Amino acid sequence: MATETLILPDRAVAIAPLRQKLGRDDWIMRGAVVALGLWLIVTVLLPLWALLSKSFQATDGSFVGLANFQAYFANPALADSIWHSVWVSLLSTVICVLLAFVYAYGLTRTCMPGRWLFRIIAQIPILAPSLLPAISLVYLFGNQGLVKWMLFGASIYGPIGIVMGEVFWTFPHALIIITTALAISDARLYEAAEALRASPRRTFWTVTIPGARYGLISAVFVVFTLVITDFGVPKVIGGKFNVLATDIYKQVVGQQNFRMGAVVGLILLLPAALAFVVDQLMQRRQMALLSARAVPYDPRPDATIDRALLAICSLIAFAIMVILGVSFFASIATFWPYDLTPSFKNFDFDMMDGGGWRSYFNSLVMAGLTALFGTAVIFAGAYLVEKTPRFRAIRGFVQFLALLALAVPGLVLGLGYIFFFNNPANPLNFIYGTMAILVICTISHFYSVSHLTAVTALKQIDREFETVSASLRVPFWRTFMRVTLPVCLPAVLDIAMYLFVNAMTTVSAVVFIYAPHTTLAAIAVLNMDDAGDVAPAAAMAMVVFATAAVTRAIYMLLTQGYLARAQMWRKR
Amino acid sequence: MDSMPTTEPYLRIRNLSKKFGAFTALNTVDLDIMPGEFVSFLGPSGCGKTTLLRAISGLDVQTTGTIHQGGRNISTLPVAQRDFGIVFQSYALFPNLTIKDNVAYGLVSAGTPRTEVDKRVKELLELVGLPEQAGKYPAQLSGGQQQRVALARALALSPGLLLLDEPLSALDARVRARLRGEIRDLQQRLKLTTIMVTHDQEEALTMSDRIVVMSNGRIEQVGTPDEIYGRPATAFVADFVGKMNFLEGRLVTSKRANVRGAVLDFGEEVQLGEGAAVTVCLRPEDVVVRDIGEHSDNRLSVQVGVMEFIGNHFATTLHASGTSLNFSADFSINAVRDLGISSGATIEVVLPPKRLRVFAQPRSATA
Amino acid sequence: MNLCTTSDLRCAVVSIAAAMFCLSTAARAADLTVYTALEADQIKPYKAAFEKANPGINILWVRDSTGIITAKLLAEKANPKADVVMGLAATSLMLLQKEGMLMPYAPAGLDKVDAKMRDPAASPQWVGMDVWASAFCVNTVESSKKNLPEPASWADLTKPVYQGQIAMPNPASSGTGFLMVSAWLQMFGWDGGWKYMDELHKNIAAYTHSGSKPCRQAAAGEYTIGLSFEYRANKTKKGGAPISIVLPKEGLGWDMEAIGIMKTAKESEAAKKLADWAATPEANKLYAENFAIVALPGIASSMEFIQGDIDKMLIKNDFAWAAENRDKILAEWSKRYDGKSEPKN
Repeated sequence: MATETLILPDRAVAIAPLRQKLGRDDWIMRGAVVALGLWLIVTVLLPLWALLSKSFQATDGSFVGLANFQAYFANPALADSIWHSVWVSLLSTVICVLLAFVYAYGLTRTCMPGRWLFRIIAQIPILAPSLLPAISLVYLFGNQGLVKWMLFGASIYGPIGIVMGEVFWTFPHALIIITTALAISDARLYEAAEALRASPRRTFWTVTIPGARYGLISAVFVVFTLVITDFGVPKVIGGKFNVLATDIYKQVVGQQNFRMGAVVGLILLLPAALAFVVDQLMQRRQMALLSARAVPYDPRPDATIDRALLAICSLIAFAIMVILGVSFFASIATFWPYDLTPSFKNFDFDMMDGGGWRSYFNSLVMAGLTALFGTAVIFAGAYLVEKTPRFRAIRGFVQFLALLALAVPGLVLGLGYIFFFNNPANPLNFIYGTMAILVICTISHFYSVSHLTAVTALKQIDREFETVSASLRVPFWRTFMRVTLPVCLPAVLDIAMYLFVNAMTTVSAVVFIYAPHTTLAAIAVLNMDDAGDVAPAAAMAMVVFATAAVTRAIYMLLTQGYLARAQMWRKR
Repeated sequence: MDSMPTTEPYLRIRNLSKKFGAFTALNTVDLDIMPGEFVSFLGPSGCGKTTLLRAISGLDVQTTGTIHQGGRNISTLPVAQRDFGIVFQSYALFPNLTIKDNVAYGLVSAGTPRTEVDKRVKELLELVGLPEQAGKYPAQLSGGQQQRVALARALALSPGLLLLDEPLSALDARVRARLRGEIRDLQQRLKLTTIMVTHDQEEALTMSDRIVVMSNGRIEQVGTPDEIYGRPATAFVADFVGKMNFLEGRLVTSKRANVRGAVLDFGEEVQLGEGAAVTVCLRPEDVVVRDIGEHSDNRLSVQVGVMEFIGNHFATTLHASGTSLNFSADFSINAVRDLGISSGATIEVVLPPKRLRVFAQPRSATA
Repeated sequence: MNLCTTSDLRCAVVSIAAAMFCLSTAARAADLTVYTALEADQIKPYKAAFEKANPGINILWVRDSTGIITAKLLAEKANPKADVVMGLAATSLMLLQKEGMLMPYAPAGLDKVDAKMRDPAASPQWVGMDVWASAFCVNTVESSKKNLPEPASWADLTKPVYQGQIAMPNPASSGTGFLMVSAWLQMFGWDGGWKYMDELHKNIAAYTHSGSKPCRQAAAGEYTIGLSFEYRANKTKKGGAPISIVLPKEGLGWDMEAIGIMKTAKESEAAKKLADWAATPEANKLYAENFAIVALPGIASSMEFIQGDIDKMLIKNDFAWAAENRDKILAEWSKRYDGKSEPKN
């Protein structure tokens, strides 16, 4: 057997490798992968490209190199914005990550009471548009602020307000990342530290911090990106303190100067892209840190530490509740601050800017459609990228596109959508100004995180399902519908939930592309605040929050009740 | 098998190679598998056995070479157009479907009428000895039961070829031993051509009609379990299958070697020329201590080293008096008791010439 | 584009479905796209009255601040979306006229319109609707708390006592802001006007996006004085705000809200109907509910909280000059006051 060993090398090279014939499933899956790739090219790559090329063009479309950038930097007020953006984002990031770390430490490493409640409270900011904390801060610290004295005469309008608002809004994002990092640490390291008689302080600095370092770095970059690209908080409370995100809005919406908007957008893209790269690297390392045999850490009661962290966490949770509560009270007061009798006067949105109740229903429809179509596209897309046999180059490219969206700030994406879809020469021009473009844009904006959720879930199921199905001559879509989808149902619902809540609260991408009949609730908050109807703006923000919160509650009941029963097979 | 009638092979593999970049996972493999035969691919991890199975199933098509199944060229066909049932180490049962739905999965998709599906599922579950479990979910069954369901599912469409990819590795020792017999029994009843990939020599030896031992992407030897164990074709096979003494020496004649001072005769002639360096292989259990009165071939006077009680036998190291030859030997408990063998004693042993295998040096494995 | 007329959920769903799955253009009665800077609380009655008088025409409002609507119209010059511009400052309409974007049209009943309130050409490119004028909103609770005297004139506002107490609209985005700046430059001269604004800037706490916001902020006590316009002042006071409304004695900055048809209007017949309606007594009666002076003379206004004869207090306003110099004024303003460091307060 196998005794012939002398094959001439050049002859061996000359033989072309065999190619497998493509079956029906292969054709369909490859076609679908290509379709998904085209979809992502149209909804992410081309708008981004349109933005890039616009920043190098004059009004008439001719190429002018860096002239627009020169013009931008020549205006000292605009160039100041870069510096403003950077230091405000850095400060917000440091404060937010520190607070989130302490809070996460309390949740994962202590036995303080009421941890479940602290977990729930910490998620509140995610359910509201970023404009809500800013509005609340005006009510708290503005010239008529309830606790204005706490600022010792400083003005809330400007960096102080921006930092406070951003910390509130980004807190849950940092918390999720750091909690995960702390939760996966290996208890055996602590046992070893204890056996070596390391002091708690030494253990903290040599075990806890290094163990959580990738999570911390990741949180720093995520928060920094969120802050520097957020536009809601500085718009409401920034006063005359200009930052990049408000500049881009002023240039585009205020002065209809799209080229300058493209320039600012490009500048905004840089930190976001950097953060994206760093985050990817960190996550890879964090995975490596988690050995399969790690033993989960089980905190032991320690009266001093538990009490100290209970105090700090209570303070943070209290601050979150106050910020939410203030908007609530302002929204039901008849005429803040002079007539505090409760009324629903501020909920009569139809007499105000922003599109009235119609905006709210538009938002519901938009969020519903985003959740529906987004989940379908993203989950099916992740399945195809993961499970299509061979076809590596194309799958890799599609995977890259799916993650690319994460590096694109909402404002930049929205602006790219104007350039790309509002071009009369674009055959897709007809969706401009419709609900469809809002849905598509929002799906693209939140694509990456959902895609990663789906991929993680798909990686957890047996790799051989598809092989078995093929050997039983069952078409792949049947296995997808009958097995993959039901098994991944929790992840699918997570994605739908994530898309719904974000679609309800997002402002940044859609603010450039809504039309008169597709105004949205979160944008109505912005417009009402702009027109000075601050209490109705707070009221609309509360309506958005309530919707997201109720949806979330229903979702939790569903997953714990019905879903638990429908997924009987998970139990032994 | 010796008694196999000379028919056309069911599976004919010719000149099969698989390259992953610069790495050669399969190197010009030729193999014939007869209808109804149970063949195991045996070897250490990375030897190419799984790659060969994946080429046969179409999961990873080979770089060059052809595969014919039942006369049909399936070399480049996609998985769904080939004809096999497959069972994985992980079972790969669909967790959200009942046992019945798992087994019926391929049948339903093929559009089989409901009553027929029910009948067939019942039949299959009886075949694998699980008639009572149809309504349960996989997670409610033990590992061994799940593997039997996977087997039933693979057999549902009556495939021409059954592929078993490390089917028993995830099970504990007792269940594994029982399932070996059951699978073999089932295979023989159905006369189903079966290929099993395994790294467990015991599994391969007990279940197979023939074993294909592989190493570094090549086939080292194809043979019945008896041939593989008793007459390993290469030093690698000798080392990989069972325990073996590797004794280094030089040829004195074509049928005799001097091994560290001891002169040993062997059954077959070795055409390497006088003075060639050779390795003489000897299984510890082939060392004879009983009834050696009249034997004179390869008779050695040896000193017994430390006696290790293994459970059903003793293992020890023997030192041949007047030489520098040491080798291990297994003695049955009876022999030890009857002959009063004990550590430090000097006894007479015979190394039967027919049981010695001789290979040219250098050999890759070390004893 | 598929557009909706009624503001209910079902309609929204239908329009999305249609938009997502087909290319159908509206086959219904005319959908008239109207760009406007009218206040959100004004456009409802106007739309209702017009659509009642002209069944089969639906108004689709695109509403924003004066500056933004103006910039949007200019930016879309190559591919205009609007059919009609209604309730936009005359200075802005004159800008569009200069760009050749408007269609000359003499609406029925043009002869009755006050001659001062229209484009003088026989087929005018724009026709005025009403006049809106600047006014202060002064929070009485806060000013008594802080012991502030009530300002009576533009000059008063530069007194150091008001430092950090005043909000005014950004003239780049707000028509109300622009008409103030334009008035100061005409009243005090180019240099005098900028000198005045330099002084005023020291007292300004915030420049707002919209012309209504300063008054609303004054009403909420966020700032004591809000420079705004009389409609918003009247309306805010009516809503229960503790404010007094001051008309500065040097004279009021003002502008006209006017209507013009885009040359490129796709629904030009419906557009003409809207222009006709805008000059009717019915429409003017609706304007009069909001403003003191409307295009048709002799229609009484009903602004209960505005004391004083607005008509007499209006400055002599050279719209042509204002329209001509709009870009220059805004650039200078932006250079001086925009994006500067925080006010010291």
